[in-house]
Amino acid sequence: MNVYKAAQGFEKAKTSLMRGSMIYISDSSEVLIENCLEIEEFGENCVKVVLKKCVATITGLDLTMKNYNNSSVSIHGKIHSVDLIEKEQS
Amino acid sequence: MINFKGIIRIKMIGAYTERFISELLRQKIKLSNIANRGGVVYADVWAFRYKRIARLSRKYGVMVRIERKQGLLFTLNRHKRRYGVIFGLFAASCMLLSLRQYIWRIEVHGNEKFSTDYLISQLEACGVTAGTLTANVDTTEVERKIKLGNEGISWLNLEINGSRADLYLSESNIPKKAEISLKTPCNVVSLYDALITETDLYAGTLNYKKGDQVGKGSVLVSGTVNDGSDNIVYTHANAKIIGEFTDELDFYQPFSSVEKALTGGVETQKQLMLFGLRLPLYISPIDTDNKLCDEEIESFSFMGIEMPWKIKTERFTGYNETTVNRKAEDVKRLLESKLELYCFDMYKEYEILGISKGYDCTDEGITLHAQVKLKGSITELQPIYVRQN
Repeated sequence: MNVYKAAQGFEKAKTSLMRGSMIYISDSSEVLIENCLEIEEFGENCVKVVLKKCVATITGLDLTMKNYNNSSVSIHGKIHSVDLIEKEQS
Repeated sequence: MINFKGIIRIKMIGAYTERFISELLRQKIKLSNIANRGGVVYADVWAFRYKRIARLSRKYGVMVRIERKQGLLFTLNRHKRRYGVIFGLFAASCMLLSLRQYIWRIEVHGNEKFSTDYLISQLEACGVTAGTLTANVDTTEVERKIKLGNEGISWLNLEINGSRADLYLSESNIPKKAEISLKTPCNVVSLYDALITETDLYAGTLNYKKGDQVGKGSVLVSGTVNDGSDNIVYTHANAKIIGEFTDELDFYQPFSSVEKALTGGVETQKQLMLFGLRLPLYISPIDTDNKLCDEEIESFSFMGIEMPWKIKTERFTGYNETTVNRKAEDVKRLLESKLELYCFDMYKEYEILGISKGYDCTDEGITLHAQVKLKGSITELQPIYVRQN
Protein backbone atom coordinates (compact mmCIF):
# COMPACT_ATOMS: atom_id res chain seq x y z
CA MET A 1 0.00 0.00 0.00
CA ASN A 2 1.30 3.43 -0.94
CA VAL A 3 1.29 5.44 2.27
CA TYR A 4 1.40 8.79 0.50
CA LYS A 5 -1.61 7.97 -1.65
CA ALA A 6 -3.48 6.78 1.43
CA ALA A 7 -2.58 10.00 3.25
CA GLN A 8 -3.74 12.09 0.29
CA GLY A 9 -7.01 10.16 0.14
CA PHE A 10 -7.51 10.73 3.85
CA GLU A 11 -6.85 14.46 3.45
CA LYS A 12 -9.33 14.68 0.56
CA ALA A 13 -11.99 12.86 2.53
CA LYS A 14 -11.33 15.07 5.55
CA THR A 15 -11.57 18.27 3.45
CA SER A 16 -14.80 17.20 1.80
CA LEU A 17 -16.37 16.25 5.10
CA MET A 18 -15.25 19.40 6.86
CA ARG A 19 -17.93 22.05 6.82
CA GLY A 20 -15.60 24.85 7.71
CA SER A 21 -11.92 25.53 8.15
CA MET A 22 -9.79 24.94 11.21
CA ILE A 23 -7.33 27.38 12.72
CA TYR A 24 -4.77 26.33 15.32
CA ILE A 25 -2.75 28.97 17.07
CA SER A 26 0.32 27.94 19.01
CA ASP A 27 1.64 30.78 21.17
CA SER A 28 2.38 33.87 19.15
CA SER A 29 4.71 32.14 16.73
CA GLU A 30 2.59 29.89 14.53
CA VAL A 31 -0.86 29.80 13.00
CA LEU A 32 -1.93 26.63 11.21
CA ILE A 33 -4.90 26.83 8.88
CA GLU A 34 -6.60 23.75 7.47
CA ASN A 35 -8.92 23.92 4.48
CA CYS A 36 -7.59 27.15 3.07
CA LEU A 37 -9.11 28.07 -0.31
CA GLU A 38 -6.92 30.93 -1.47
CA ILE A 39 -4.24 33.34 -0.43
CA GLU A 40 -5.57 36.80 -1.00
CA GLU A 41 -2.70 38.83 0.29
CA PHE A 42 0.79 37.97 1.36
CA GLY A 43 3.08 40.56 2.81
CA GLU A 44 5.83 40.92 5.39
CA ASN A 45 3.40 41.99 8.10
CA CYS A 46 0.03 40.78 6.89
CA VAL A 47 -1.33 37.58 5.41
CA LYS A 48 -4.91 37.31 4.26
CA VAL A 49 -6.29 33.86 3.48
CA VAL A 50 -9.73 32.89 2.19
CA LEU A 51 -11.34 30.11 4.15
CA LYS A 52 -14.62 28.28 3.55
CA LYS A 53 -16.85 30.70 5.38
CA CYS A 54 -14.63 33.62 6.26
CA VAL A 55 -11.47 35.53 5.48
CA ALA A 56 -8.68 35.35 8.04
CA THR A 57 -6.19 38.19 8.37
CA ILE A 58 -3.03 37.41 10.27
CA THR A 59 -0.92 40.38 11.23
CA GLY A 60 2.52 40.28 12.73
CA LEU A 61 6.22 40.77 12.05
CA ASP A 62 8.47 38.87 9.60
CA LEU A 63 5.73 36.50 8.52
CA THR A 64 6.68 33.44 6.50
CA MET A 65 4.42 30.77 5.15
CA LYS A 66 4.58 27.07 4.35
CA ASN A 67 2.06 24.81 2.72
CA TYR A 68 2.52 21.29 3.96
CA ASN A 69 -0.30 19.52 2.24
CA ASN A 70 -3.09 20.09 -0.27
CA SER A 71 -5.07 22.80 1.45
CA SER A 72 -3.24 23.64 4.64
CA VAL A 73 -0.85 26.45 5.33
CA SER A 74 1.19 27.34 8.37
CA ILE A 75 2.22 30.91 9.04
CA HIS A 76 5.26 31.60 11.18
CA GLY A 77 6.62 34.79 12.62
CA LYS A 78 5.80 37.10 15.50
CA ILE A 79 2.02 37.07 15.32
CA HIS A 80 0.08 39.98 16.75
CA SER A 81 -3.50 39.22 15.78
CA VAL A 82 -5.81 36.93 13.85
CA ASP A 83 -8.93 38.65 12.53
CA LEU A 84 -11.86 36.74 11.09
CA ILE A 85 -14.28 38.51 8.78
CA GLU A 86 -17.30 36.70 7.39
CA LYS A 87 -17.45 36.35 3.66
CA GLU A 88 -19.98 38.45 1.81
CA GLN A 89 -22.91 36.29 0.72
CA SER A 90 -23.12 36.45 -3.06
CA MET B 1 19.93 14.47 6.67
CA ILE B 2 21.35 14.57 3.12
CA ASN B 3 19.09 16.35 0.67
CA PHE B 4 19.38 14.23 -2.48
CA LYS B 5 16.62 15.78 -4.60
CA GLY B 6 17.84 19.37 -4.31
CA ILE B 7 15.97 22.44 -3.14
CA ILE B 8 15.93 25.80 -4.89
CA ARG B 9 15.01 29.19 -3.48
CA ILE B 10 12.97 31.11 -5.97
CA LYS B 11 12.02 34.75 -6.03
CA MET B 12 8.67 35.86 -7.45
CA ILE B 13 8.11 39.36 -8.67
CA GLY B 14 4.74 40.51 -10.01
CA ALA B 15 1.41 42.08 -9.23
CA TYR B 16 -0.47 38.86 -8.57
CA THR B 17 1.96 36.79 -6.55
CA GLU B 18 -0.75 35.83 -4.02
CA ARG B 19 -2.92 34.41 -6.76
CA PHE B 20 0.06 32.59 -8.15
CA ILE B 21 0.82 31.07 -4.71
CA SER B 22 -2.85 30.02 -4.38
CA GLU B 23 -2.63 28.34 -7.75
CA LEU B 24 0.54 26.49 -6.73
CA LEU B 25 -1.34 25.41 -3.61
CA ARG B 26 -4.15 24.06 -5.76
CA GLN B 27 -1.64 22.32 -8.02
CA LYS B 28 -0.27 20.53 -4.91
CA ILE B 29 3.16 22.11 -5.32
CA LYS B 30 4.71 22.39 -1.90
CA LEU B 31 6.30 25.71 -1.00
CA SER B 32 8.11 26.39 2.21
CA ASN B 33 9.68 29.40 3.88
CA ILE B 34 7.50 31.76 1.85
CA ALA B 35 8.50 35.28 2.80
CA ASN B 36 7.72 38.72 1.44
CA ARG B 37 10.72 41.00 1.57
CA GLY B 38 10.10 44.42 0.13
CA GLY B 39 7.43 43.33 -2.32
CA VAL B 40 9.43 40.34 -3.57
CA VAL B 41 8.19 36.93 -2.52
CA TYR B 42 10.75 34.22 -1.81
CA ALA B 43 9.99 30.51 -1.40
CA ASP B 44 11.78 27.14 -1.25
CA VAL B 45 10.63 24.42 -3.68
CA TRP B 46 11.89 21.03 -4.83
CA ALA B 47 14.19 21.47 -7.81
CA PHE B 48 12.21 19.09 -10.01
CA ARG B 49 9.08 21.29 -9.59
CA TYR B 50 10.79 24.37 -11.08
CA LYS B 51 9.79 23.78 -14.72
CA ARG B 52 6.13 23.48 -13.81
CA ILE B 53 6.32 26.60 -11.65
CA ALA B 54 8.00 28.55 -14.44
CA ARG B 55 5.27 27.47 -16.90
CA LEU B 56 2.50 28.55 -14.53
CA SER B 57 4.21 31.84 -13.74
CA ARG B 58 3.84 33.03 -17.37
CA LYS B 59 0.10 32.54 -17.09
CA TYR B 60 -0.09 34.76 -14.00
CA GLY B 61 2.38 37.36 -15.16
CA VAL B 62 4.83 36.61 -12.35
CA MET B 63 8.57 36.64 -12.95
CA VAL B 64 10.25 33.66 -11.29
CA ARG B 65 14.01 33.56 -10.82
CA ILE B 66 16.28 31.13 -9.04
CA GLU B 67 17.92 32.75 -6.06
CA ARG B 68 19.88 29.84 -4.57
CA LYS B 69 20.41 26.13 -5.18
CA GLN B 70 21.18 23.61 -2.49
CA GLY B 71 21.39 19.83 -2.17
CA LEU B 72 23.59 16.92 -3.14
CA LEU B 73 22.39 17.02 -6.75
CA PHE B 74 23.77 20.53 -7.29
CA THR B 75 26.92 19.87 -5.28
CA LEU B 76 27.72 16.84 -7.43
CA ASN B 77 26.91 18.78 -10.58
CA ARG B 78 29.32 21.50 -9.51
CA HIS B 79 32.12 18.97 -9.05
CA LYS B 80 31.31 16.78 -12.04
CA ARG B 81 34.62 17.53 -13.78
CA ARG B 82 36.69 16.64 -10.74
CA TYR B 83 37.28 13.05 -11.73
CA GLY B 84 39.68 12.39 -8.88
CA VAL B 85 37.09 13.33 -6.25
CA ILE B 86 34.41 11.25 -7.98
CA PHE B 87 36.75 8.28 -8.27
CA GLY B 88 37.81 8.72 -4.63
CA LEU B 89 34.18 8.80 -3.47
CA PHE B 90 33.37 5.75 -5.56
CA ALA B 91 36.41 3.86 -4.25
CA ALA B 92 35.61 4.85 -0.65
CA SER B 93 32.00 3.70 -1.05
CA CYS B 94 33.14 0.38 -2.54
CA MET B 95 35.65 -0.09 0.26
CA LEU B 96 33.08 0.75 2.90
CA LEU B 97 30.59 -1.67 1.40
CA SER B 98 33.12 -4.48 1.14
CA LEU B 99 34.52 -3.88 4.65
CA ARG B 100 31.01 -3.99 6.09
CA GLN B 101 30.92 -7.66 5.17
CA TYR B 102 33.51 -8.46 7.86
CA ILE B 103 33.58 -8.34 11.64
CA TRP B 104 35.98 -5.70 12.89
CA ARG B 105 35.03 -5.33 16.48
CA ILE B 106 33.94 -7.77 19.16
CA GLU B 107 32.22 -6.56 22.30
CA VAL B 108 31.29 -8.66 25.31
CA HIS B 109 28.45 -7.63 27.60
CA GLY B 110 27.25 -8.99 30.93
CA ASN B 111 30.37 -10.89 32.03
CA GLU B 112 31.63 -10.75 35.60
CA LYS B 113 33.30 -14.04 36.38
CA PHE B 114 34.57 -14.73 32.86
CA SER B 115 37.08 -12.20 31.58
CA THR B 116 36.48 -10.44 28.27
CA ASP B 117 39.80 -11.76 26.90
CA TYR B 118 38.80 -15.32 27.74
CA LEU B 119 35.43 -14.99 25.99
CA ILE B 120 37.07 -13.39 22.94
CA SER B 121 39.50 -16.32 22.83
CA GLN B 122 36.51 -18.69 23.02
CA LEU B 123 34.97 -16.89 20.05
CA GLU B 124 38.27 -17.13 18.20
CA ALA B 125 38.30 -20.87 18.81
CA CYS B 126 34.87 -21.01 17.17
CA GLY B 127 36.16 -19.02 14.18
CA VAL B 128 34.74 -15.61 15.14
CA THR B 129 37.56 -13.10 15.12
CA ALA B 130 38.28 -9.64 13.76
CA GLY B 131 38.32 -10.05 9.99
CA THR B 132 35.88 -12.96 9.77
CA LEU B 133 33.28 -12.78 6.99
CA THR B 134 29.92 -12.20 8.70
CA ALA B 135 28.12 -14.53 6.27
CA ASN B 136 30.35 -17.42 7.42
CA VAL B 137 29.37 -17.07 11.08
CA ASP B 138 26.71 -19.46 12.30
CA THR B 139 25.73 -17.64 15.49
CA THR B 140 23.58 -20.49 16.85
CA GLU B 141 26.41 -22.98 16.45
CA VAL B 142 28.93 -20.64 18.10
CA GLU B 143 26.55 -19.98 21.00
CA ARG B 144 26.04 -23.72 21.48
CA LYS B 145 29.77 -24.46 21.40
CA ILE B 146 30.69 -21.79 23.92
CA LYS B 147 27.82 -22.73 26.24
CA LEU B 148 28.79 -26.41 26.17
CA GLY B 149 32.40 -25.59 26.95
CA ASN B 150 31.63 -23.28 29.85
CA GLU B 151 29.31 -24.50 32.57
CA GLY B 152 29.23 -21.15 34.29
CA ILE B 153 27.32 -19.53 31.43
CA SER B 154 23.55 -19.86 31.72
CA TRP B 155 22.53 -17.84 28.66
CA LEU B 156 24.41 -16.63 25.63
CA ASN B 157 23.50 -14.58 22.57
CA LEU B 158 25.78 -13.63 19.72
CA GLU B 159 24.52 -10.76 17.58
CA ILE B 160 26.19 -9.43 14.48
CA ASN B 161 25.37 -5.78 13.98
CA GLY B 162 27.02 -4.55 10.81
CA SER B 163 30.73 -5.03 11.33
CA ARG B 164 30.43 -5.44 15.10
CA ALA B 165 29.83 -8.71 16.94
CA ASP B 166 28.10 -8.36 20.30
CA LEU B 167 28.26 -11.24 22.74
CA TYR B 168 25.62 -10.96 25.45
CA LEU B 169 25.73 -13.47 28.27
CA SER B 170 24.54 -14.09 31.77
CA GLU B 171 26.50 -16.20 34.15
CA SER B 172 25.05 -18.95 36.31
CA ASN B 173 23.98 -17.45 39.55
CA ILE B 174 25.06 -19.87 42.23
CA PRO B 175 24.17 -17.96 45.38
CA LYS B 176 26.79 -17.70 48.09
CA LYS B 177 25.93 -18.97 51.49
CA ALA B 178 23.87 -16.15 52.90
CA GLU B 179 25.31 -14.36 55.84
CA ILE B 180 23.08 -14.59 58.87
CA SER B 181 22.01 -11.17 60.02
CA LEU B 182 22.41 -10.12 63.65
CA LYS B 183 18.62 -10.13 64.06
CA THR B 184 18.28 -13.80 63.09
CA PRO B 185 18.42 -16.25 66.01
CA CYS B 186 21.08 -18.88 65.48
CA ASN B 187 23.29 -21.53 67.10
CA VAL B 188 27.04 -21.94 66.78
CA VAL B 189 27.88 -25.46 65.60
CA SER B 190 31.14 -27.33 65.16
CA LEU B 191 32.53 -27.93 61.68
CA TYR B 192 34.90 -30.76 62.73
CA ASP B 193 35.46 -33.46 65.32
CA ALA B 194 37.76 -31.37 67.49
CA LEU B 195 39.26 -30.66 70.89
CA ILE B 196 38.34 -27.22 72.17
CA THR B 197 41.39 -25.21 73.20
CA GLU B 198 40.01 -21.73 73.50
CA THR B 199 36.53 -20.20 73.99
CA ASP B 200 35.42 -16.61 73.86
CA LEU B 201 31.63 -16.20 74.22
CA TYR B 202 29.91 -13.11 72.82
CA ALA B 203 26.20 -14.14 72.98
CA GLY B 204 24.19 -17.27 73.79
CA THR B 205 24.70 -20.23 76.12
CA LEU B 206 28.04 -22.04 75.94
CA ASN B 207 27.51 -25.82 76.00
CA TYR B 208 31.16 -26.94 76.06
CA LYS B 209 34.22 -25.69 77.85
CA LYS B 210 37.94 -25.65 77.13
CA GLY B 211 39.35 -29.18 76.93
CA ASP B 212 36.06 -30.82 75.82
CA GLN B 213 35.94 -33.08 72.80
CA VAL B 214 33.16 -32.22 70.34
CA GLY B 215 31.75 -33.99 67.32
CA LYS B 216 31.04 -32.54 63.92
CA GLY B 217 27.69 -30.70 64.02
CA SER B 218 27.57 -30.34 67.82
CA VAL B 219 25.90 -27.19 69.08
CA LEU B 220 28.76 -25.35 70.74
CA VAL B 221 26.80 -22.24 71.66
CA SER B 222 23.02 -22.34 71.87
CA GLY B 223 20.88 -19.42 70.74
CA THR B 224 18.00 -20.41 73.06
CA VAL B 225 18.35 -18.60 76.37
CA ASN B 226 16.19 -18.84 79.48
CA ASP B 227 15.38 -15.32 80.69
CA GLY B 228 14.93 -16.46 84.34
CA SER B 229 11.10 -16.41 84.25
CA ASP B 230 10.81 -19.77 82.44
CA ASN B 231 10.54 -18.01 79.10
CA ILE B 232 12.75 -19.07 76.22
CA VAL B 233 14.31 -16.24 74.27
CA TYR B 234 15.94 -16.83 70.90
CA THR B 235 19.14 -14.87 70.37
CA HIS B 236 21.85 -14.57 67.74
CA ALA B 237 24.56 -16.71 69.36
CA ASN B 238 28.15 -15.80 68.63
CA ALA B 239 31.49 -16.99 69.92
CA LYS B 240 35.10 -17.47 68.95
CA ILE B 241 35.98 -21.12 69.53
CA ILE B 242 39.36 -22.46 68.63
CA GLY B 243 39.93 -26.18 68.42
CA GLU B 244 42.42 -28.78 67.35
CA PHE B 245 41.35 -31.31 64.76
CA THR B 246 42.82 -33.75 62.28
CA ASP B 247 42.37 -33.95 58.53
CA GLU B 248 43.22 -37.13 56.62
CA LEU B 249 44.68 -37.10 53.13
CA ASP B 250 45.76 -39.75 50.60
CA PHE B 251 48.10 -39.33 47.63
CA TYR B 252 49.11 -42.03 45.15
CA GLN B 253 52.09 -42.18 42.80
CA PRO B 254 52.98 -45.21 40.60
CA PHE B 255 56.61 -46.38 40.24
CA SER B 256 56.35 -46.37 36.49
CA SER B 257 54.64 -43.57 34.50
CA VAL B 258 54.69 -42.26 30.93
CA GLU B 259 55.94 -38.67 30.79
CA LYS B 260 56.79 -36.16 28.10
CA ALA B 261 60.43 -35.16 27.87
CA LEU B 262 61.22 -32.11 25.74
CA THR B 263 63.92 -32.67 23.15
CA GLY B 264 64.80 -28.97 23.01
CA GLY B 265 64.42 -28.38 19.25
CA VAL B 266 62.03 -25.50 18.46
CA GLU B 267 60.50 -24.92 15.01
CA THR B 268 58.55 -21.79 14.11
CA GLN B 269 55.97 -21.06 11.44
CA LYS B 270 54.02 -17.86 10.80
CA GLN B 271 50.61 -17.10 9.33
CA LEU B 272 49.09 -13.83 8.13
CA MET B 273 45.53 -13.42 9.41
CA LEU B 274 43.55 -11.14 7.11
CA PHE B 275 39.76 -10.85 6.61
CA GLY B 276 39.21 -14.18 8.32
CA LEU B 277 41.72 -15.85 6.04
CA ARG B 278 44.92 -17.48 7.28
CA LEU B 279 47.65 -17.11 4.73
CA PRO B 280 50.74 -19.24 5.45
CA LEU B 281 54.09 -17.43 5.46
CA TYR B 282 55.99 -20.69 5.01
CA ILE B 283 56.59 -23.13 2.21
CA SER B 284 56.12 -26.50 3.84
CA PRO B 285 54.12 -27.04 7.00
CA ILE B 286 55.75 -28.48 10.10
CA ASP B 287 54.89 -32.02 11.09
CA THR B 288 53.02 -31.53 14.37
CA ASP B 289 53.26 -35.11 15.66
CA ASN B 290 54.90 -35.35 19.09
CA LYS B 291 55.27 -31.60 19.36
CA LEU B 292 53.94 -29.13 21.89
CA CYS B 293 52.55 -25.96 20.31
CA ASP B 294 52.80 -22.45 21.70
CA GLU B 295 50.86 -19.72 19.84
CA GLU B 296 51.37 -15.98 19.79
CA ILE B 297 49.26 -13.45 17.87
CA GLU B 298 50.80 -10.08 17.06
CA SER B 299 48.40 -7.19 16.33
CA PHE B 300 49.23 -3.98 14.54
CA SER B 301 47.74 -0.58 15.20
CA PHE B 302 47.99 2.78 13.52
CA MET B 303 47.13 5.97 15.44
CA GLY B 304 45.36 3.88 18.08
CA ILE B 305 43.20 2.02 15.55
CA GLU B 306 43.72 -1.71 15.33
CA MET B 307 44.57 -2.87 11.83
CA PRO B 308 42.68 -5.80 10.28
CA TRP B 309 45.78 -7.95 9.81
CA LYS B 310 47.60 -10.00 12.43
CA ILE B 311 50.61 -12.27 12.43
CA LYS B 312 50.22 -15.60 14.16
CA THR B 313 53.43 -17.30 15.26
CA GLU B 314 53.34 -20.98 16.17
CA ARG B 315 56.30 -22.49 18.02
CA PHE B 316 56.57 -26.26 18.05
CA THR B 317 58.76 -27.94 20.62
CA GLY B 318 59.43 -31.61 20.11
CA TYR B 319 59.02 -34.15 22.90
CA ASN B 320 59.49 -37.83 23.46
CA GLU B 321 57.13 -39.94 25.48
CA THR B 322 59.27 -41.96 27.79
CA THR B 323 58.42 -44.36 30.54
CA VAL B 324 59.98 -43.13 33.76
CA ASN B 325 60.75 -45.73 36.40
CA ARG B 326 61.32 -44.25 39.82
CA LYS B 327 62.85 -45.70 42.92
CA ALA B 328 60.76 -45.86 46.10
CA GLU B 329 62.71 -42.93 47.59
CA ASP B 330 62.01 -40.73 44.58
CA VAL B 331 58.32 -41.62 44.65
CA LYS B 332 58.15 -40.75 48.35
CA ARG B 333 59.87 -37.42 47.69
CA LEU B 334 57.34 -36.68 44.93
CA LEU B 335 54.42 -37.55 47.20
CA GLU B 336 55.80 -35.33 49.95
CA SER B 337 56.10 -32.39 47.61
CA LYS B 338 52.46 -32.98 46.55
CA LEU B 339 51.39 -32.98 50.20
CA GLU B 340 53.37 -29.84 50.91
CA LEU B 341 51.75 -28.04 47.98
CA TYR B 342 48.29 -29.18 49.10
CA CYS B 343 48.83 -27.95 52.65
CA PHE B 344 50.10 -24.61 51.40
CA ASP B 345 47.02 -24.13 49.23
CA MET B 346 44.27 -25.53 51.47
CA TYR B 347 45.25 -24.71 55.06
CA LYS B 348 46.00 -21.02 54.80
CA GLU B 349 43.51 -20.16 57.57
CA TYR B 350 44.78 -22.74 60.03
CA GLU B 351 47.91 -23.36 62.03
CA ILE B 352 49.51 -26.70 61.18
CA LEU B 353 50.50 -28.37 64.43
CA GLY B 354 51.93 -31.50 62.93
CA ILE B 355 51.77 -33.99 60.08
CA SER B 356 52.00 -37.73 60.60
CA LYS B 357 52.73 -39.72 57.48
CA GLY B 358 52.44 -43.37 56.61
CA TYR B 359 53.34 -45.10 53.37
CA ASP B 360 51.50 -48.02 51.86
CA CYS B 361 53.69 -49.72 49.26
CA THR B 362 52.38 -52.05 46.59
CA ASP B 363 54.03 -53.57 43.49
CA GLU B 364 52.72 -50.74 41.31
CA GLY B 365 53.14 -47.66 43.47
CA ILE B 366 53.08 -45.99 46.85
CA THR B 367 50.14 -44.36 48.66
CA LEU B 368 50.87 -41.66 51.17
CA HIS B 369 48.40 -41.48 54.07
CA ALA B 370 48.80 -38.21 55.91
CA GLN B 371 47.12 -36.96 59.06
CA VAL B 372 47.42 -33.22 59.37
CA LYS B 373 46.80 -31.82 62.83
CA LEU B 374 45.38 -28.33 62.59
CA LYS B 375 44.41 -25.55 64.93
CA GLY B 376 41.87 -22.87 64.12
CA SER B 377 38.27 -21.72 64.24
CA ILE B 378 35.84 -24.62 64.18
CA THR B 379 32.58 -22.66 64.26
CA GLU B 380 29.73 -22.15 61.86
CA LEU B 381 26.48 -20.25 62.43
CA GLN B 382 23.27 -22.22 61.94
CA PRO B 383 19.93 -20.33 62.01
CA ILE B 384 17.15 -21.40 64.35
CA TYR B 385 13.79 -21.73 62.56
CA VAL B 386 11.01 -21.07 65.02
CA ARG B 387 7.53 -22.39 64.19
CA GLN B 388 4.92 -19.87 65.23
CA ASN B 389 1.58 -21.27 66.37
